[in-house]
Amino acid sequence: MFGMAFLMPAFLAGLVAAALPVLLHLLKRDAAARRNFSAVFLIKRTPVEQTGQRRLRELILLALRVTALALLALAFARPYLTGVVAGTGGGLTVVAIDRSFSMSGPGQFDRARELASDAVRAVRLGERVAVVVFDETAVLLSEPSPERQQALAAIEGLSVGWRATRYRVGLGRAAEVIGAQTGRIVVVTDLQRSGWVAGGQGVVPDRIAVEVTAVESPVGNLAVTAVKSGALDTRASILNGGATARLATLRLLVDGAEVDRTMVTVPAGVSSEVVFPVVLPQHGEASVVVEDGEGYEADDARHLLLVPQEALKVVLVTSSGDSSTEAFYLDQALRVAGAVNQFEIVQTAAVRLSLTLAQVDASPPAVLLLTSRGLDRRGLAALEAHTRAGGGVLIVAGPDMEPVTLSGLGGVGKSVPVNDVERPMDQRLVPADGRHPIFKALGQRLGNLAQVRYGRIRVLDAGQDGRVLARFSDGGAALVEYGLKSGRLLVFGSDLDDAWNDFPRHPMFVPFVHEMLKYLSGNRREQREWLVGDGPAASVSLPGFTALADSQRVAINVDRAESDPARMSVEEFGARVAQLRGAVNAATPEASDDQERGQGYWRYGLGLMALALAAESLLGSRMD
Amino acid sequence: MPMGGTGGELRFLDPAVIARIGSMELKARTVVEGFLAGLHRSPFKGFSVEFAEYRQYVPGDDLSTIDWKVYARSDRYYVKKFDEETNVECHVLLDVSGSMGYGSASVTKLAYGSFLAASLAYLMHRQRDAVGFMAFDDDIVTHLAASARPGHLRSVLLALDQVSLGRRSNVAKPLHQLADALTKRGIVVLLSDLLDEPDRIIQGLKHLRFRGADVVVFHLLDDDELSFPFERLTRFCDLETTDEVMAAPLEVRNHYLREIGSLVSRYKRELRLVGIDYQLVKTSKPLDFALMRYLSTRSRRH
Repeated sequence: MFGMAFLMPAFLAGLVAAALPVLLHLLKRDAAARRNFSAVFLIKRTPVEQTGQRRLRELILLALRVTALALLALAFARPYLTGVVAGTGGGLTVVAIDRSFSMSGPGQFDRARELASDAVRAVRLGERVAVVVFDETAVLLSEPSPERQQALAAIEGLSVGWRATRYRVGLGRAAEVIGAQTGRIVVVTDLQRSGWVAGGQGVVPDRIAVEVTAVESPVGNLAVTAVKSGALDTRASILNGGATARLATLRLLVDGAEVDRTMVTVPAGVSSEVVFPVVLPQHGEASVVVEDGEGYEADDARHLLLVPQEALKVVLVTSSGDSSTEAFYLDQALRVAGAVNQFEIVQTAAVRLSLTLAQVDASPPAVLLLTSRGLDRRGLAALEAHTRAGGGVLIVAGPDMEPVTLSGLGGVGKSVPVNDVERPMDQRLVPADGRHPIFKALGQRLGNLAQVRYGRIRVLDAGQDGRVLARFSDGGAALVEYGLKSGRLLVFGSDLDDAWNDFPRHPMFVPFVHEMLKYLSGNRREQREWLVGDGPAASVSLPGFTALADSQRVAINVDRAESDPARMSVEEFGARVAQLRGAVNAATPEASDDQERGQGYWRYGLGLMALALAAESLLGSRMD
Repeated sequence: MPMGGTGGELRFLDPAVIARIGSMELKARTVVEGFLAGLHRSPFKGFSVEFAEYRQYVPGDDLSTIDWKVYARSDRYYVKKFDEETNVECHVLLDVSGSMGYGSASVTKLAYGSFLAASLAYLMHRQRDAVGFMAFDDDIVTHLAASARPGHLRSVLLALDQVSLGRRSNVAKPLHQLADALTKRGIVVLLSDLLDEPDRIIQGLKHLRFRGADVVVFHLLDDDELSFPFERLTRFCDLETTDEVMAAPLEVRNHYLREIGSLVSRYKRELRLVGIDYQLVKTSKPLDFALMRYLSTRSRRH
């Protein structure tokens, strides 16, 4: 229904003020006095307007004044239109169709289309309807229109996608389409529980009703959720999302050809690991496929691109060149077997640094400078050339680092202002910018860095060029990155070998060191696996193998979380939808803009009031 | 204080006070005696008809004032002061048209004009002038020919006591009639609000002037007519016609004031060009002001 409501209805009391001019007019209105006068002929010569004309103009003036006051009160009351925009009549129904791959069960999406079409047909005549489809993204498929055929045609041409369910995204887009009006959202979905990510919830204004039309989920679903190539075999994880145990047949394909086949019974609701006694080649494309006639098609295969792992070369600079004794913990951290990141350690003494760097024929390695003892001018020049060539340097300002030497580290193009002030304090490390690649890669484990106790630290002066990536708990810089034209230079303000802190004995030590060295290496190791629609594969809509724009081949898989068909009830779904009074989903700035536009009629009110006052002034001045 | 009179004397020249006095004769006497009481100390001392004296001629005195009879008897030059005059015909013309009935205070223009006419007649008679009186609207209502007979003043004052508002104005008509009837030069005093066609009025006055008369015009206007102080929406009804006009005074005031101002200015300018004394008289002002104006004109005849 079309209507108008007010955000601040109390200001409507100001409409009483609009009666003031009328009241004054009535109070001051009286019959013309009759008076005998001698010089009437002089009055008659006066070019006064006729009484009728004057009365008309006075009435117009009165109307303008009343209008101005009424508009002022209305503007303060912040009017907005409820229902649909004027002239179109009726409310707005948005049919939001879940097209995530959890809707790809046998006959599932056909049923979804039927229910969506029914929802469109059920819209009352004169009301408008729009169609939104959503998975991890949401698209307005059919603009709001009273024409149902348009919406029905859009639904007819719809097909299921390969991405995961995100109810919040779908509801947000639907609420955005409704904007500041009233309406309802009909969600056609399989009510998959994983559609609410990490306890998230959708927010829609309370003037928008949310209805759910549920589509049945498949009885069971088998999904290959992971494939891992080992030195002795190949392993795959298979999930049974059904309520009963399933006997699954799995095939291992390499470059499209089946190389192994196995059968396994997977208990209900759990994942099982399947081992193929096959060593995969270093190059190629491997896939594990499960035969599943009941569940979703998209997760029946998992793809793995076979590429040789290229180890990152790291030059460990110590006094003697024996990192196994002088930098035991670092050495061990870089030699972790089976780690995602593989490092090739090049040990060198500081005095031989220039020679070592000259001998490294690979791309510029990361240099881990643990000492300044023996670092001569040639070594500094080699470091400068190294950074100029795009290499990275991590200076660990521990006990073996001489501050004076560091201050003269002009070889890297910067004078690193590390002094010899040491503070024997119980310090903690806190990342200053969690979005930095080093910390971002640590993910939710980032907070664990604060568990490390630093007994001694080095005071670092970031200066104007330095960017503090992490600080100690007293506010001092802990990890500083200095801006260079090429290459990267990091300075860590403490020790990394269990001398000044207990960091090497914490679980975060290895990933932290690895991420720092990866960053110094310029993240040359490319990711070869992506989810559908993510990262550089955003334009890829099908799982499998594909070549990116730079001709690099990658494996595209579906989100494994979507493979779990666990459902929730309509009530549970409704409980996740927070309906806020007067709120428009704030998820998108466009929604806020729509809300602002929908409530922006007060501007027109003030504009009209200004016009009325201007007209009143003009008319009034002509009457004087 | 005008003319040096005392407050007590001037109180009797206030038209509002005069209006409360019984007969017109008494009114006139009160006005004139009060006026003259103040005049003894004024520069116009020489026009009191009650007092006459001789003094020895001194160089600079007007030769016409030398009393040659005394010279014949005493062989000395004496100047005759305050000698009586009896050879001037004075005609007082009072407009009694409907518009003269307007008065914002207790005195209408007609009443004020009557007081003034009576006072002038009394003053003229006291100076041994022949006094004539004419009341008119669009025609002559009352006409008493000029005479210096002792009982004539009473007739004039009686006529003045009985004047009443007439019809529409036609000031020019009696002026022309009087001009045609004038047999000797004299003084014509016109008391009117002149709310008529200015061209015709001026023509009539010029006609009188052409016949050799000294003309004094007292333009009687009420304060309301000069300031138009009204505020509320008013239906103005003409006192002489059935015309009515609805007007918001605040809207028409400026234009009205310009109109009345230009009318007064025109009378003043054009009448003075032909040697006619024009004096705007507000009916709220004391009567001595008008009397002084008359005496000023009267003095020019000597």
